[in-house]
Amino acid sequence: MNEENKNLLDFGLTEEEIEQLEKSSSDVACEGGAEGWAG
Amino acid sequence: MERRKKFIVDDNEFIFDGTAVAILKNNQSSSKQELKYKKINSQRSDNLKTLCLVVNNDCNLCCEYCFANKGHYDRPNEKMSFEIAKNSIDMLIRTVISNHQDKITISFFGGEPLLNFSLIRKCVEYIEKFKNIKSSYMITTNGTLMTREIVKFLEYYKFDIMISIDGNKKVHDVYRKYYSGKGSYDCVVRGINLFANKEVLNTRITIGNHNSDINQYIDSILNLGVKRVTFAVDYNISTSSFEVFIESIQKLMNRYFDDIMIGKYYDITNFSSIIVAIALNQRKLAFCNAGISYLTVSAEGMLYRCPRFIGNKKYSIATVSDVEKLEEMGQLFKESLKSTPGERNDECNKCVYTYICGGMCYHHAVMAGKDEFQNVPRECYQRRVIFDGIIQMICKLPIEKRRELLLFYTNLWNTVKGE
Repeated sequence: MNEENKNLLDFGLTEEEIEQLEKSSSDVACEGGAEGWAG
Repeated sequence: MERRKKFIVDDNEFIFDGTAVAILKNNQSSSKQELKYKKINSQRSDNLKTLCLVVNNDCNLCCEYCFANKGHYDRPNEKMSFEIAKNSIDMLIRTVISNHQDKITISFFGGEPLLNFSLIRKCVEYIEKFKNIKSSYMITTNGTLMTREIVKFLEYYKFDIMISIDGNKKVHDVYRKYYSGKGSYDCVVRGINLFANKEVLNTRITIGNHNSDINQYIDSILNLGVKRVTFAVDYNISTSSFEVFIESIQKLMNRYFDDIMIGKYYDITNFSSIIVAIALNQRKLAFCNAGISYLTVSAEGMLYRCPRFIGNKKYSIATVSDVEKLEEMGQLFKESLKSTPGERNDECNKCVYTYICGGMCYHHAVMAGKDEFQNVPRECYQRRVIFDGIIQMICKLPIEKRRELLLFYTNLWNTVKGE
C-alpha cells in the first residue's frame, strides 16, 4: 500500500490474496454482468 | 468534482471516496487529503468475449412478469439452428483471436434453454474442439427440466448456473406457474437436489408485489443448500410494495452483517459486487457489459446488446453473418457510451456513487420511456440505499471478518469455475 494510503480501510488481504480475488471475481455473472438489479 | 461521503459508524468517522472507489478511515488525517492510488481498475472490458445464445423462444412456464413475452419474444416458438449457433461461435472466436485473447464465455438463454438441450450439447462439443480457446459456459434456467443426464453434462463442463426461484413455495408458485396454473416450486427444488454441489448454483429472485419483503424469503432459499442469491426488482412493482422492499433490504443488510459476525457466509451477489469493487478499488464504467464485451444472438440470428432488447429493431445491431456491420455498429455504441457514466448523464455526474454504480440499466430506462442513458428514479434510489448500507456494513466489520468474507467469495467463485 502506498504511504499516501495509510488511512485506507484495510481488508486484511495479502497481495497474493488480492490477485486471487480479482481473478475469481471476473466473469462470475449472468445477463451481461448485471448481477441482477434489472427485473 | 469531489466525490466524497462521510459515514459515522460506532462513533468512528469514515469517508467513501467515490473517485477511487475506496473507504478512508478519517481518524489519521484531513478528509481533504488527496489519495494517490497505485492504480484505478476499470471493470469494463472493451473487447467482445461473451455471447449469449437465445437457443429457443419457448418456455414451459408462463410467469406473468416475464420480460420476454412468456419466453416467446417477437417470434413465438422459434428455435435456434445449429448453423446460426455455429456462425455465432465462429464469429466470437475470430474476434477474440484477432484481439490476441484466448478466453470466451457462452451464456445459454431462452425462453427456457433446456427445451433445446440438444443444441446446447452440440454447441459445447463444437467449442471444445478449439484447443487454442479457453471456454466457459453459463445458463439461465427455470430449473424445472433438470434430469440426471443434463446435470451430469452441466457439472462436467463447469457451467455457471442461474436458477430462478422467487422465495418459498407459497410465493414462488404465485409467480412461476405452468400453463395449467400449477406452481413450479416442487420441480425446481427437485432439479436443485440433483446437483452434487448445490453451493455453486446461483439463484435469482425477482421481487414483485407478493415477495417484496425479501428478508423473509432468504432463509427458504439458503435452506435449499445454495450459497448464491441474486435479487432483481420487477419494473412494475407497486409503490407500496417498493417501500416494503426498501425497508426489507435494510433488514437484510443488517442480517447479512450479523451472519458474517457468527461466521455464516453466503453470497448475495448484489452485495458482494459492491464489497469486492471497494476492496479492489474497481471503477464500474457501465451498468453491465452489454454491447461492449457481451452480445446476444436471438434465436433467428440477430445481434442485440442483451436479451431484453430482442424484438426492438432500434437496438438490433446486425446479423451474425454481417460482421462488418457488427463492428461498425459496435464501435458506434462504444463511442456513445463515452468514458464514464457522468459524461452520459448529469445526475450520475453529481452522484458520489457513480463509479460503483455504472449508471442505469439501458433496458429499464427505455422501458420507462426514457433515453437509454437517463435515470429511472426508483432504481437509482434503490441502489443508493444499498450502497449506503453496504458501505456502513464494511466499516462496521472487524478487519478479520472483512478478510474472511473476501476469502469466502474467492473460494466460492473458484469452485464455480472448477478451479
